[in-house]
Amino acid sequence: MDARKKKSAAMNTVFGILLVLFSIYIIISSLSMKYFKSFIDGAGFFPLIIGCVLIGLGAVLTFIGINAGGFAELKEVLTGSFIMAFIKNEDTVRVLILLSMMVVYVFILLGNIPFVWATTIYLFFTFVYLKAYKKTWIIPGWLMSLITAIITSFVIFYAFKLGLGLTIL
Amino acid sequence: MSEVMTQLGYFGEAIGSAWSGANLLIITGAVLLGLIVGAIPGLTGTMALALLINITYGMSTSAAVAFMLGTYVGAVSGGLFSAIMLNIPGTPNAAATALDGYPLALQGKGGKARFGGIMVSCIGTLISCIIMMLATPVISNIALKFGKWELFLLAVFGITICGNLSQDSTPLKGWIGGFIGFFFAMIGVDGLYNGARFIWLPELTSGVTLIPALIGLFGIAEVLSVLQDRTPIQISESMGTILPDKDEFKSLMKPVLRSSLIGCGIGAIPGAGEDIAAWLSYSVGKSRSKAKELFGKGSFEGVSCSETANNACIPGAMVPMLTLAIPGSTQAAMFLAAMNLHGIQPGPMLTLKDPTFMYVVGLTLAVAAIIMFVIALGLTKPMTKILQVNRKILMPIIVVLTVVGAYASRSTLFDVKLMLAFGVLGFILRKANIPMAPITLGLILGGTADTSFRQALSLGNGSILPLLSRTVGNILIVVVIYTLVSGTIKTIKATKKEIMNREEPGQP
Repeated sequence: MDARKKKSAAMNTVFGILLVLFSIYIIISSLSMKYFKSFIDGAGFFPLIIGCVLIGLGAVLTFIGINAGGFAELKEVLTGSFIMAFIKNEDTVRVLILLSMMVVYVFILLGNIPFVWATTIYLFFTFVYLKAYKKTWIIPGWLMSLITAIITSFVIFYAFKLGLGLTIL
Repeated sequence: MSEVMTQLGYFGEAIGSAWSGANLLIITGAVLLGLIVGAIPGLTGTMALALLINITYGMSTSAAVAFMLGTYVGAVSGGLFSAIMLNIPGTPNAAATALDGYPLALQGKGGKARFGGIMVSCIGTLISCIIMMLATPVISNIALKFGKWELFLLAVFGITICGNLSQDSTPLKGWIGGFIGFFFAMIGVDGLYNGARFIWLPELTSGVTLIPALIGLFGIAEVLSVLQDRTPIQISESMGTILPDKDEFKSLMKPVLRSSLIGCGIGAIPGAGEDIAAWLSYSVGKSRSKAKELFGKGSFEGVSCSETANNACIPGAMVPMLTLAIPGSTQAAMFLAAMNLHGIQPGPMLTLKDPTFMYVVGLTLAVAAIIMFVIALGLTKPMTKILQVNRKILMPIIVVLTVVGAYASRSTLFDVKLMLAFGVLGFILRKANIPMAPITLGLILGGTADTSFRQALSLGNGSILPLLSRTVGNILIVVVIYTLVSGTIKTIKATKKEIMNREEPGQP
């Protein structure tokens, strides 16, 4: 079996198990929801059906994953060396760093400092991390990143303010 | 006869609204924007429309319709440029185009492939517009007879058929996506008795706001996927002559007509969308072609089949959206969200409340297709430069636009956080190969399915038996069961094959 199929089998197993667990949570929550005359009228009736369907689908996915060798692959995946290799993988690191920058932008910067500055900071660090601009003989890459970040932030802010009458944050 | 005359009257009224000078200007700008978005790999039409929904807020309804539909037509058509020039489909619906478009470009026939693709995209949209305007009033009349039970069954049919079509091998993950979407639609206070459901945070009391969720699923998730991919782009610039000769024109007539019908039909299936239309049309075209051996190696017919069908899908996707409020594609779902923002409620009552609206939509799409033809021809050469745009600069800017787009709907920072959360979830689900279209459809139809089902059961005093005497409902039950059974058989077959392959690794 090729590596892609192995990875897919492991993914199906993990996702199937998580789905079953989440469906159990949906079912338990649904059963405890208040109802007026009968449970059929109640808020929990439809979520209960959704939970039951998802638990069935999750079980089938887990079964398919295990049959395709998902458990064996999972055992391999869960070894310390594999996890370290995954964490050190360039693509994983890249996505995690980019995501962290977005989280800092949305959860910390926005709402605490003005939109234009929050956006400038986010764009500048993201451009620099991605090496969006290469160094030229006269302007270093980081300076071009800063100029682009400032101009973009102001353009977006004023475009929405003047164009749509929307003051952002 | 009088009904025909009445409809013609509505059609006449719609011409004035859809083809006003201001709207033509808006359509032109929107088509241009859509073409550029569609051509740049990583930017999809759905993402663009999700970001643009809130921009239409300050516009009049007819201007908003023109803007959204113009962008939609442009984005679906624009995908062919990168498919032919880069071998990377700008949008998923142009994936089949790349199979023959890129080999044609390598043979020095890239110009002809682009011209042919643009021309058939326009023709496909126009043919499908005519079918849409003829079919919508008929389906609307049938839809008026639908009760709560039928609406529930339609919602279930929507996500099951969408699940069936959105994955190649088995429908399992499509169905999971649909029911996950249903679950998200349950969050908040329920629509009948104000019962609290899954309110983890006080801000979720009114439920998951649709627009930020869609922006997250299609914006942030897409940005993360694109920035993870570090494949360098190489452009094939060889164009050759642009105009196909007379024989090539003649040979395309049959496939174009057939692909228009396929595209329109697939568009009318809830959630199916342009990429399925393109692939199906391509595969039918290949099986019917006299020059099968050219498919995959550089066939004008192959490019025509996929490009005609993906564009013909647009008007087709409007039919269930306008008549039943069930979008035929994810882009149509964005259009539905925009129309809701403007106080227009698509569904069976739309033809009674605003009988000209569907003709406005049809005529706007038709004029957008013609404008697309003109602009796309003009862009054939400059597109080489546009495609070289630095994605490392573009993608972070898209993130900022998603933030503004999410914030604009209700002016709360919580929506921005919700959007980011859905973006991360969308990225993870993509990695697990869960398709996005059923999730979107589930999110949109979940509320209707829930309230309709419970109301229908209340009418039957809690029993399902009285509901089984309804003819339309019974037809829908048969269709849903058929969809589920065929999907289950497909899943079992695929699982058996997988097990056999594992047990006998030597076998192919």
